[in-house]
Order: sequence, then C-alpha cells, then structure tokens
Amino acid sequence: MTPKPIARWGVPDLTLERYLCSDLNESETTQVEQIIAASPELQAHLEKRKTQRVAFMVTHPFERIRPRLLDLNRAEVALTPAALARRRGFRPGLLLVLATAAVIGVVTFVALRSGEASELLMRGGVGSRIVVDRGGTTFEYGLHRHLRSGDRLQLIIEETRGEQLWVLGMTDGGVVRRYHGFEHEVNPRLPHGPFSLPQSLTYESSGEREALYLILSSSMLTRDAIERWADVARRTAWPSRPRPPAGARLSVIVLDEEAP
Amino acid sequence: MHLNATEEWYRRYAEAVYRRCQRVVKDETLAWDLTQDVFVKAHRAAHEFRGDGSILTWLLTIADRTCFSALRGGKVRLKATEQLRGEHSEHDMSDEDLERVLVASDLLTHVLTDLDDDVQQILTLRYIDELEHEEIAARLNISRKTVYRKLLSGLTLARAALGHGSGAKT
Repeated sequence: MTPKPIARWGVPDLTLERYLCSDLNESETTQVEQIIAASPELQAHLEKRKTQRVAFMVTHPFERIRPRLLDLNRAEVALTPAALARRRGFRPGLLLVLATAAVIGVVTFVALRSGEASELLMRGGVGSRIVVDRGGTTFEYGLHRHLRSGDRLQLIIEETRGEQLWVLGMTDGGVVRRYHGFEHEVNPRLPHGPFSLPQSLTYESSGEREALYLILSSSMLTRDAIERWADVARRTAWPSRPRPPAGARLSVIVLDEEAP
Repeated sequence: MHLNATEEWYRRYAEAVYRRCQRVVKDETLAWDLTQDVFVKAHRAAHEFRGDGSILTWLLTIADRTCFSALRGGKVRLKATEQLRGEHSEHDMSDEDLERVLVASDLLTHVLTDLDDDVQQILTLRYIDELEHEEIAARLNISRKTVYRKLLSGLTLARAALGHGSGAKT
C-alpha cells in the first residue's frame, strides 16, 4: 500500500469542498486558489461542482426539510427537563435552572404561537437565495460574503406555487428599480417549483444602499397595483418592510457591500 | 438551535453533505433521505459543535455515521460481487491500482459495508476525502501506524471482494 497522496487534483477533495463552501480560512483559500490558477482541469472540475451546487439548491430547497425541523423544535419544547438533561449531558445540579428555563420556554412558546405567521413573513415569505459570480468564482451571498461592484447576482426562488413574481430594488435614497415582472400589465403566472431569474443582475456601487423586494402573488395583481405598493414602500424608512399586497408573499433582502 | 441558523448551514453545506452521502451509498434517493437525517441530527446536536472547527467537517462526520448505519442496516443495494469482479478482473492489481479502483468505483461501498466503524471512517477519509495518512492520524488522534494497519485491512477486504486473494502488494 502506498502512503503517497491520492488527491486527483493535487488538493484533497475535502479541501476543495470546504473551498466551495467558503469554509477555509484566508491563508488556506489563497493556497487553494494558487493551485486552481495553475490547473485548467481543476478549474473545469470546480465549475462543474458549482453548477451542481446551484442545481441542488433549486431541486432540494430548505423548504423541503423545514417541516421536519419545525416538528423537532416542537418536540423539544414538549420534552421534560430530565429528558433534555439526559440528551444534552447536563449535570443534575443544573436541572433546577433547566426546569425553570423550560417553563419560561413553554410559556413563551404559547405566547408567541399567535405571532408565528408574521414572524415567517419577516423571515422571508419567499424562500430565496442569491448566488454571486465574481470573476468566475461563485459563492452564496450572505454569511460574511458581501458584494463588490461588478458582481453578477443570480436570484433563485426556492419554490413558486404558480404565482406571479415581481422583483424590484429600492435604495435608501428612495429610488425604485424594476428588475422583473414589469414587462406586462398583468404578469403571467410562473410554473410550480423552483425558479431562477432568467437574467442575472449586476451589482454596481453607487454610494446608495439597496434592498431587493421579492413579491409572489397568487391573486393576479396588475402592474399598477405593484407600482402603487412600491410607491408607498419607498416613502417609509429604508429598508422598509411593508405588508405585502393582499394575497402576496414578500421577502426583503438588503444588499450589503464589502467594507473598502 | 434556531431554525434560521440551521437554514444557513443547509444553504451553505447541504449539497456537499448530499454529495458525500451519494458517494458512500451510491443511491440518489437514499442519499437525499440521509442528507435530511444529517441536518435533523445537526439541528438537535448544534450545541455539541465546537465553534473553532470546520462546520463542513463536522457535518460530514455526522453524514458518515448516518451512511454507515444505513449500510449496516441493509438499506443500500449493493452491486453484485460477480459484477464487481467482472469489472476489475486483473489478478495482479497493485495496491496503488486497487486504491484507484476504490476511489472511482462502487467497490468502496461494498467494502465499507463489511467493516467496523473505525475502519469505515479511515477508509472514507482516505478514499473520499483524499487525505494523507498523516492528516487522518491527526484528525482521529491515532498513530500513522494504526492508520496504515486499518487501511491495509480495508484493502485486504477489497481484494477478497474482487476474488484476488489476500495480502498487500506494492
């Protein structure tokens, strides 16, 4: 048996996967990028992997697993303090504190149940993500990865339910930018399932901050109705989180730029 | 753990976890089921994650255990031994060639099914993660000699699966 390295690309597969997930530190990333720069085959491999990553998130959005996790959270709340202690390996001396916390948790849970719908709305009634292409390197927006001028943004809606879609941007200076859905007086419905915006958006640094508004409506709204809604939204403090139009779902994504 | 935190993990790491499961169990539907199991387990056990380590590495460790359990539970439909033997019929395959076959074929899944947990983990780190012996030893806090010995037992089993007899060849 050989103790020689067996990495096909000169870099262990695990390291490449961590690189794709932005899970490496700065010096590790630099090292990997030097190897990538010298290997067209590795570049092609990574491009393929990036495409697979994007495709996976379209076909397997988080929404598909969310119900199981919600069930789990509810079951956790229902667990007795002793059972929780056993699961988490707490010492018996901590049980009293835990029991008190559990009681507070149950009370809070019951108190907040009626507010669940609005929390969902604020968290993003529309499951979505932004994949950023920066000079051939792709990563997901957020999680400490912010934008630079020139970045290409691909917006992916995780699940549509045969609804109309509008995408618009609002700047902190009150400017409204119409990105999708404004071509027709009455926007056609999208097919059910995941949807990727056909055209990518280019982020340009302009000194103003911008937020994206994603509206999905099941009640056949007109362009004028959305324009009126946007006009009201842009007059409130940025980034405004207005109620969505009747029968619609809304997500607001603030586009943060990297610090210079 | 808050659902939003798990959602962030999912968005960032789910495809890598799915790919790992797919590579171990060689079945897309089962790999997706196992990927969900991994994130449910991670959601429950988030308090066990040490913040100074790699989240992906931690998730992949959970994925490995979940996949090995599926292998042991007979959930994985293995390629028939005869078919594997037909695909890799060279009788004088060197260890190096055998390692290449392990990386590229269904043989690894076949071999993993019949191994103890610790050897499963070492073979996975070697032939899927492509780590060197030293890196595996450091990761698992064991000696390089132990890594070598366990890998050897995996290769011996691989040879047996292919009907090539036993023993290492260089």
